[in-house]
Amino acid sequence: MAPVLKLAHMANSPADLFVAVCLGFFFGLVLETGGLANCRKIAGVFYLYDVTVVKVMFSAILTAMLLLYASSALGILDISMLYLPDTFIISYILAGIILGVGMVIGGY
Amino acid sequence: MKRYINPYIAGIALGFVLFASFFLCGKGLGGSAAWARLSAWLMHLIAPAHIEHSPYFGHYFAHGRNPLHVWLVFLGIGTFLGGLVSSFLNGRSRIEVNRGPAISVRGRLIYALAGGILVGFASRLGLGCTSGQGLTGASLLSLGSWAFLFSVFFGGYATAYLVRNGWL
Repeated sequence: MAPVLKLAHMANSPADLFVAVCLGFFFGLVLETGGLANCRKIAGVFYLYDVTVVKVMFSAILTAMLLLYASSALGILDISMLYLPDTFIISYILAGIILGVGMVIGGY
Repeated sequence: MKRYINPYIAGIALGFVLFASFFLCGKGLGGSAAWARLSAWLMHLIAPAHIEHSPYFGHYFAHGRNPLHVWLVFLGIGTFLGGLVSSFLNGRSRIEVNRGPAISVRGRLIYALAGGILVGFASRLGLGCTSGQGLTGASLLSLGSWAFLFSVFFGGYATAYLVRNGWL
């Protein structure tokens, strides 16, 4: 059953933190390999000269979503145990707009 | 310098990493929290009393805790290493100021600082950046995350024309 380390009460244990470094390693590896570490590719989204970032992001969201759904339907993942931030809709909309403005100025 | 891989392949691989994070640790990937904690730690070196009594950053230091001893910071260390290894292996690692053809290095750095300040503030206001809200929250179909994500595109497209000299 999953989430594995959370169910084993090992959240923030050395094992959990080691897994975090490993997950981060692959996260960084995939981001760089896909071009998301390149600010000109990120800016490209906003001028429509290169929409790589959108392609990567939405295929990642879709893949993770389907895997979460399937593993939950198969009963191997307890989806209610996953961390989900609270919904502060006004703050998030405001934050999103500011972040978007910052992103097109700064590039990341 | 090698070309980047197919974006759909990269996206699917990223989806698997994100799913692995949920499956193993019960939480998704995030990028901005590590930066917030690193800056709090740095500020603590300079003005410890101020930062410990800050309404926002204070809880990072509650009960004598180390603000860097958290899951998201370890994730961030891994992300740095993974990106570094990938850029070395693909011959993309070099010192440069990546920018559009029309802007000077100095101009680009000023833009980067201004944009960085906005992104840093927004990521705290929104409890995450394009990783924590955009990828992680969106894959859980969180309403707030989708509102955030579309707002990012709105903010970006609304401003793009004004700062086109930075990129075009």
